[in-house]
Amino acid sequence: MPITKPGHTLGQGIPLKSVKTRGSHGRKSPIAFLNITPMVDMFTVLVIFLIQQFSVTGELGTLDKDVKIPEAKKFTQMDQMPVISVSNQWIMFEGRKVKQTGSVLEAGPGMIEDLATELESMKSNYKRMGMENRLSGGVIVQADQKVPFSIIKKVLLTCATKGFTKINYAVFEKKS
Amino acid sequence: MAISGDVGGGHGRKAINAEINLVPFIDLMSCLITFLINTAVWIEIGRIDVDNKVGVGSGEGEKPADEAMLSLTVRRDGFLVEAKWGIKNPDGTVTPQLTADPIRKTPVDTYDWDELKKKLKDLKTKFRAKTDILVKSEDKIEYSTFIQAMDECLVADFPNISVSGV
Repeated sequence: MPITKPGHTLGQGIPLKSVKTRGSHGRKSPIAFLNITPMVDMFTVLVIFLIQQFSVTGELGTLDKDVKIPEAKKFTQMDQMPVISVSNQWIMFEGRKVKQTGSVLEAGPGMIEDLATELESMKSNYKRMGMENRLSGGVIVQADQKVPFSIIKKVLLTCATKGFTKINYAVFEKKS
Repeated sequence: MAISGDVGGGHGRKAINAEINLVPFIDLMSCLITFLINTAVWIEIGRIDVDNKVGVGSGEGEKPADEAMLSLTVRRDGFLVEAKWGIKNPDGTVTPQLTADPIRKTPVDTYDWDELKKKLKDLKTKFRAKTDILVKSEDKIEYSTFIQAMDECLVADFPNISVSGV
């Protein structure tokens, strides 16, 4: 079928206002009309999608780019707590580099002193500001999937020594 | 910007034209989209919360002798599901009982998660009232394996997980 130039499909007889305003007698009106129907459709779809994505609690934590956290089927919602991030390179506390993971691995058993200092200073800061009640004794551990348990054990031991006994392991939802 | 429609018309009757003004609708949509995009959470992170018992033992001494103690050990060669409990005798003494079910890795060197699920389910059937379990792990075990083991415990309805080193 050959491609032909489209002609007028709507004429004077159709009582739509937008069509009526077009010029008659063969002249084309200089007023251009924007068809907003696709835009309204798109807006509606976008609003529905975003409402589905909406989370009442908001974003309660950020992920370090080097940390690929594991997945789990059963978990609870994230809460606001201090974050200890363990990648294959660094152990970080609240985004600050604390100690190299390699050196922790090589060191003997026992807690990680630098991390203990960070936890202690955070506790004293909260105490100074009179916000001790904001510290629930919990921390979030964001560790990379490949990190050996010996590192996690040292992190947990350090936390327990400094009074942080509620450990929350950050996970992604497992899509099955 | 309006949608117009002509209903009726002709033969001396007045045409009923209905026009919906779309401008406020589009304004509202724009505001809503801006708000929702700003507040959208693109990465939803969850948490598995546990009691931290690393380095302080498994807490065996704190429990009565006849109370069941369940544990799951993640080892390099597989899992070990253990249950310790006691049977009270008429004279008041307790006869200790122990079961230990090792779950070896599959021939392709992967953990047998299906078998673990089955064993944990059996454990739950046997000790229906128990909600706590101790998860132990060897040092060389990858963090993802340890998390997956804890996840299986949660799925098997053992929400009170304690963690300990081996």
